This record gives sequence, C-alpha cells and structure tokens, in this order.
Amino acid sequence: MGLLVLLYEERFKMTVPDAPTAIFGLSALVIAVSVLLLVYVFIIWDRINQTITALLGASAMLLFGVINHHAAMEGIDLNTIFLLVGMMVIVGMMQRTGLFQFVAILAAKSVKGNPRLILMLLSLITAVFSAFLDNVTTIMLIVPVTLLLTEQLKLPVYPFIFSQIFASNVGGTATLIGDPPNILLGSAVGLSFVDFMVNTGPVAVVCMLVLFVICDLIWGRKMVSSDRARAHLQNYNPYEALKDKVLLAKSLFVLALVLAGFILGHGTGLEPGSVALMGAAFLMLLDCYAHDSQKQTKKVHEAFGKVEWDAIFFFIGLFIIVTGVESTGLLSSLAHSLVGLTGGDLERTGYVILWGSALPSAFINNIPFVATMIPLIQSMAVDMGGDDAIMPLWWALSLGACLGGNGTLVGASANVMAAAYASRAGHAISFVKFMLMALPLMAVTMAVAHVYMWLVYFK
Amino acid sequence: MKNKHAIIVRVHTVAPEQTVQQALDLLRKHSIRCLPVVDANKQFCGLFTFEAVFKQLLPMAVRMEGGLDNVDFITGTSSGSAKRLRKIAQKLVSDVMLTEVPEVHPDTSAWEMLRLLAKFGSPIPVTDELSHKFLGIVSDQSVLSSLEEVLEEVEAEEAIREPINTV
Repeated sequence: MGLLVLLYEERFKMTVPDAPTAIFGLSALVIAVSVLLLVYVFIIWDRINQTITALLGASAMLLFGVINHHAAMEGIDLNTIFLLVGMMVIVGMMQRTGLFQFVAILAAKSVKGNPRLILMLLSLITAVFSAFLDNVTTIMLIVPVTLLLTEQLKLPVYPFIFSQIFASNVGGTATLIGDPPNILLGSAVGLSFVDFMVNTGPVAVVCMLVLFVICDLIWGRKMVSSDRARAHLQNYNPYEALKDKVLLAKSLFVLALVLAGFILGHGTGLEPGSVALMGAAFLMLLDCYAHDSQKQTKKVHEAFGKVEWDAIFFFIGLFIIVTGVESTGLLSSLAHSLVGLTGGDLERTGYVILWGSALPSAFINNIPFVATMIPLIQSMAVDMGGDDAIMPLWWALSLGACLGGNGTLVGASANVMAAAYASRAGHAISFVKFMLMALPLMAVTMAVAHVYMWLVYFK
Repeated sequence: MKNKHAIIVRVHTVAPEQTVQQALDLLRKHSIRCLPVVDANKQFCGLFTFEAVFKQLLPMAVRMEGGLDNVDFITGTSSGSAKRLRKIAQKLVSDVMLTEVPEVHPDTSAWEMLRLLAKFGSPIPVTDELSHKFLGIVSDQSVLSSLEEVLEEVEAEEAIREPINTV
C-alpha cells in the first residue's frame, strides 16, 4: 500500500499545488491518503469496530500534522451531528409509545390477515417510517412485529425480511432525514427537505411499486395461511399496543413541528440540525415538566441514552478524516481527473456518479463513501459551470448511495440489523442467498433512477 | 457471617437429560419453585424454574433479545399456549433451563450474597469456584436464619461484656 501511495504522490506532485508537508519528511498527502485507505480497509475487514477505526483515523490526521486542531474542529459538521442526535432523541421517545406495533397490527387486521397483502403493507409501512425516521430504528421496530405475525400465520420469514430491508433503504432515499447519506448531503450542500422530496421522492415511489410487483411475483402465491390462523389474528386489539397515548400525542405534535421547521426553515438560516435539537428539547420539556427535578434528570438521561453515540462519533471521526484528505488538495485533483475522464459532460458524469456510488455502497458502509464524495463533487463545480449546474450530480450521489445499500446484507446498517434479528429468531439469512436476489433487484432500482435522471435532468 | 451456615446442601436436583415434564412433576411434588440442573459429574449446568418454562411458552418475537416488550394486544391465546406447553413438556431440561444465572461460592462475602439475593431473588446456586461443582443453594430463608444465628451470638457476647464494663 505504501508503494501505491508513493505512486499516487508522484502522480499528484504536479497537480497538487503547495501540498503541506507533515512530520517525518512525509508529505501530508501521503499520510492523508494512507490513513483514508487504511480506514476503508479496516471498515471493510470489520475486525475492529468502525467507530474505533474512524476515531483512530482522525487521531492519525491530527498526530501526523495533516491538519491542526482548529481545522479538525471546523471540519466536524455540527449540523449533521445535531440533526442525528435530535432525531434519535425524538424517535427514542416515540418508541415507548407502541405506535409502530399499533400500525403494523392494524394493517394486518385491515386486510383480514391476507398474507399476500400483509407482505406489501408491512414493506409500505417500513418505507414510510424509514422516510421520516432512521432506517435502523424502523427495522428494530418493524421486524419483531413481523416475526410475531409470520409465527402466528405460519408464513416464511425470509420474504418479509427481504422486502423490509429493501423498503427501508428505498424509503430512506425519499427525504432529507431518511438516510445518513442524505443528511450528510443536505447539510453540506444546503439542500432542503422539499428538495429531497421533489427530486429523490418520485424515484422512491416508483422503486416501491417495482418492489411490490417483484416480491408478489416471486412469493405472492406461496403466501398462504389457514383460515383459523387468520381468524385468530382478527382477535388482536391493536389499540392495546399503544402503551402511552399521552406521550404519543406529544411526540406526534413535536414531529409535525420539526417537519414544518425543516420545510419552512430552509433559506431563513434555520438549519435542520437546530430544528431537530429544538424539537428534541421541546419534547423532553413536554414529557418532563410535571415531574420533580430528580425524575426529570432520569427522564432526560433516558432520552439521551437512546442516542446511538457510537454512530455519532463514527461521523465525527469521518468528518475529521475527510477534512484531512480534503486539505491536501487530493479530492479536487481527483475531481478534475474525473471531469477530464467524462469530458466535462454533466450527463455522463451524473451516470458515472450514480452507478459508481451504488457499487461500493452495496459492499461497504455508504457513509464514509458519501463523506469523501461530497468535497470531490463540490470541486467539480468550477469545471462544470457553477454550483447550480451540478445539482443533478448531488441527486445522482444520493440515489446511488442510498439504493446501492440494498445490494448485499452488509450494504447498510439496517440490513445488518434485520439479519441479526432474523437469526436471533432462528431464521438466519445467508449472505450469498440474499445477494443473489438483492443485487439484480438493486440494479433494477438503479435503472429506475437512471431513467428518471435522464427524463428529469438531461432530456 | 460464614456462608457455609447459609448453604443448604440437601436439595432436589434434576439432570439435564431429564424431560421438562419430569422436572415439572418434581417441582409440584415437593412444592418448590426451582431445581438446580446438575449433570452426572456433579457439574452445575443451570436452573430449571417456572419462569424458564413460561418464557418458552411465548412466541419467538417476544422471547428474542430486543423483541416485543408488550403483547397486550394479542387476545385469546391461552389455548395456543396450552398446546405449546404440551410440546415443551417433551423437551429436555437442558433445552429450557436458564443458563445465565448468578452463582456464589463458599467464600463469597455476605454483602455480595445479599446484593445478589436482593437483585436476582432466591435461590442462588453455590458452586466450587475452581471445579464448578454444585455444592448446594442459598435461599432467602437460609440466609435470614444464618443472620439470626449471628445476631444471637453477638447478643450473647455483649451480655458477657456488659457486667465487666459496669464494674
């Protein structure tokens, strides 16, 4: 790898002007690229926890003098961090209300336990919730209810888990807050909630329809359960699943305010990160004000306990690493090369980004990939006619990275979580079996995105 | 307090290869709540309790880690659970027993033992720290009586010391 990096350095010596030199006489470029590559290797290898890897990578950037403390702190996108923390607090409190079980059971009852329709409805619910909540949370809430329904109706588990994994990633594509790549993109480029709904939303809707059709073609006819089991399901009382109706009303009210804040705040300087944290604080106030200070401390502690701090610090580490790489000028050089490769043609560059993002996102975590691609695409703006002209490239990155996550079981954290739940319940999902079906289906959704991009941006 | 006073050595046990039905019969016959599972080499394997059986009666979606924590919405399930009980009764004790249970050793401190009893409830199996051999159990009753014994000893000592102090 060292040799590769040195070759890289030779290649870019001419193109990277005034690359800063770090310690040991090594150029900052060599160190930054080595750290980035090593971080990728460790993330793919999956032997060391990815948060540890990212934080150590960030430490290396600082210790080897690629960037100083000030630049590192500047590089952390607090808007993204606050958005993630705020939404995790809100969703964490909503989990206690039993809303998700309620919706799933109500849906299953509404179709009188018809398994074929339950398969579709549960993936639709997954997609809708994923659009507004974190994908992993959605999977954590929907899979246990799914397993209960499949057990009661004596149905195969695999089709449900498969379609829900797909639905979570497709649904997440539709909004600013649905999937981490979108959160990153929205914050870095200043894309609004409405921007996402208008640009990536339609693709998500079409992909969901495609998913319904394909899943029904493959499994629809095998979805049969006895009349007795279905009659039993009709006895379920979904309203009993709502454990805390007062908190449910409060959290739905706050969620509506937050979504309104995302939409109305854009362009007024009110960033999504601030809106989400305001919402979290307001919801905690609504939940706490009637209690004494000791109980309040306990409740606030619990609410913040729902934040996945390891994911937050994974982001922080990545931000510092990418800032380090960016400071060496490597990414803008790569951007120039890519523009040179596609002849500066926006359409061709868009397709390269779309498909080029999907493949790595299918096999590795798409968050570091997107974090690296953002500054790269940003520096293309100069060659391609400014910030407005390259807008389609952002949508290509978002669609590629989010939909690409469906390719394999390790393509997104939600996939990993779903597989873990299935295996705990004694229905382990094989990596290869999943991939053999998921990769082609991912390609179909990518084709949908491709055609959409051609129709809307390039035709 | 010496722990060995609190240890009940003569307890009913069950072997891992016995059936759940046999174990349930033993619980009922002796009016007890719990049977330590001990293999032929006297090694402690786990605890067979009513809780362990009840847990098996629930659907997997509830039993699994991170599963549903409220199933109030499911009504009319007692016939299903009854049928499941019939199936589970044929299983082996080793399939059902609780394996992640706290254990104490003869030299475990009295406070640690009280902490475990307060946290996990009674009884707690006593094993040899090195060989993991089953030695007996401590129960809330046995600990309480051994504490009372200690209290009697202390009071007796104080009674002897008192006249000396007054002289």
